[in-house]
Amino acid sequence: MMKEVIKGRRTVSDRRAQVHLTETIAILFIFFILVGLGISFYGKYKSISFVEQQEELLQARAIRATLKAIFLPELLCSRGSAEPEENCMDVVKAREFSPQLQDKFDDYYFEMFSYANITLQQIYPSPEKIPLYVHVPETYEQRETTFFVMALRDETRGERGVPSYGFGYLQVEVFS
Amino acid sequence: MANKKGQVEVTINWVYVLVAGGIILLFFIGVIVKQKTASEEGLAIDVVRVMENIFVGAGVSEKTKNFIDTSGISEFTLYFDCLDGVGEYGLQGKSANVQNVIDPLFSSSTIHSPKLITWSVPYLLPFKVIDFLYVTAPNIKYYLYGQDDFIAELEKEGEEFGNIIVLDGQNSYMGIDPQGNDQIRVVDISGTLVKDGFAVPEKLLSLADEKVTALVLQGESALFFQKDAGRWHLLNTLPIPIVSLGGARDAAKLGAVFSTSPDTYQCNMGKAFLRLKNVAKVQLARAERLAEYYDLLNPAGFCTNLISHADKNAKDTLGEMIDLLESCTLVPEECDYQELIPLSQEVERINEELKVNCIALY
Repeated sequence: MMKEVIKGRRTVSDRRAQVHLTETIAILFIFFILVGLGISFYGKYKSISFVEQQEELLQARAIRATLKAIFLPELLCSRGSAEPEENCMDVVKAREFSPQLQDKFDDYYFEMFSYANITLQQIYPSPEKIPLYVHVPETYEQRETTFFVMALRDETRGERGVPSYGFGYLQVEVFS
Repeated sequence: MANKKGQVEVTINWVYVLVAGGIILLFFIGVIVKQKTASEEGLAIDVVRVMENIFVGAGVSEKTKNFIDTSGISEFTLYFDCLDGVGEYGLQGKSANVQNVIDPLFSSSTIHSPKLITWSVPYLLPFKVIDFLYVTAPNIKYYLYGQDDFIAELEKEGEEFGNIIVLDGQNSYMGIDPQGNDQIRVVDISGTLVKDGFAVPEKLLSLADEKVTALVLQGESALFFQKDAGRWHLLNTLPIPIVSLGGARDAAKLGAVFSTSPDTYQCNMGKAFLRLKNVAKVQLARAERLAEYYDLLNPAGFCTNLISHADKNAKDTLGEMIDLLESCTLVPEECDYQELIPLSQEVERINEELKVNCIALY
């Protein structure tokens, strides 16, 4: 009789313990699901913001490269010691830039432009494409292209040394 | 018996809660500390990135003066350095920095100020080589002594900066007061105020040695000084030549004014000479195209002669300039950049003559 009572008590307490254990497991399960969801959302958010940041950096690099290319002393339309003509490139110098400085494209100008493709496109008086700096990576994930309208001065085309002006645009592509 | 069991259970539960709570608390404290460090590093990265953009913008646009509000990072000290041709700047004590081998940036070694001043001046030898960027701050005071065009020009240009003061004599020099400024720099073109071993004005003794510097410009050379135990100490054993054609807005001389270290100055000038070689190569190629153009028009004419055949013609002079720069790259210790000056003057003369009736070289 006594044994049966004890057995009965044990059964009740065992059941209670089982319920407790199940509860705990359920809570832990939900907790870990929530933590997992949190980590996955955070990871997703981080990866999106990383991609956005990469894009922002590439855009900033494109602007910097364009700015540097527009003001390259090697190419600008100089006027003696006076301030150079704004937004203007000397076509004679532009044609010579790449052939003369090709050997510097892997070090000096790479430091300046990194992976980029910079081309001067003359539209008027005659279409002409002048590659200035070409350093395109074999594989790339992103590409950012900017265009900048330029006046193009060619003194060898004008009469009696009076410069002849055309126009075109500078195309700057950067890669990452 | 059951009561005792319950008491023990409750105690164990509380201990469990405390331990678990403590671990969770520690975890979040760890996350916060980690996040704080990461955000500070992130801030440093953002700051140097923004600085790079600002300096690129300021550097390419000629003769511009910019005032940049840096009050958000005024608790940090910016540092500027240049070693072996590589310039570097960033926030002191932070790993984020920008390294640059192209653009010459002349500045104090450190700047701690809520505002930055940038000034860009083209370096001409005789054609434009590159833009020099000078970085300073309102709390870095420049005291100029002596009378010449350069000082007068610097005084005028510096009116906007508000940190350039002209001394009118020995007494005003001895009375220089830091007045809460971060750095003091004396520019003496007379060579009488600042000499190796001379006493530094008394009120400047309160500032740290590296915060009190001086420059003596004598002829076409510069001597850099720094305060050391209350006296001026010459930093460069040999005078550093100023390689420039003089005239208004002497970029090389201005570089010496804004650089506090002779090594940094020479390193930045080295960047300019490196660029000069490239620009001169393009200029030479342009001269060759002009020679071809005039050969077709009038092979025995004045323009062809000046570009290709005269005793001192444009092509030969530019070629000499490139050869000199090439040899300087190969054997820098035997290089005398001052030899560039007569060659540049020659190119300038040829250009002036060409401008009359021919296409100018630059």
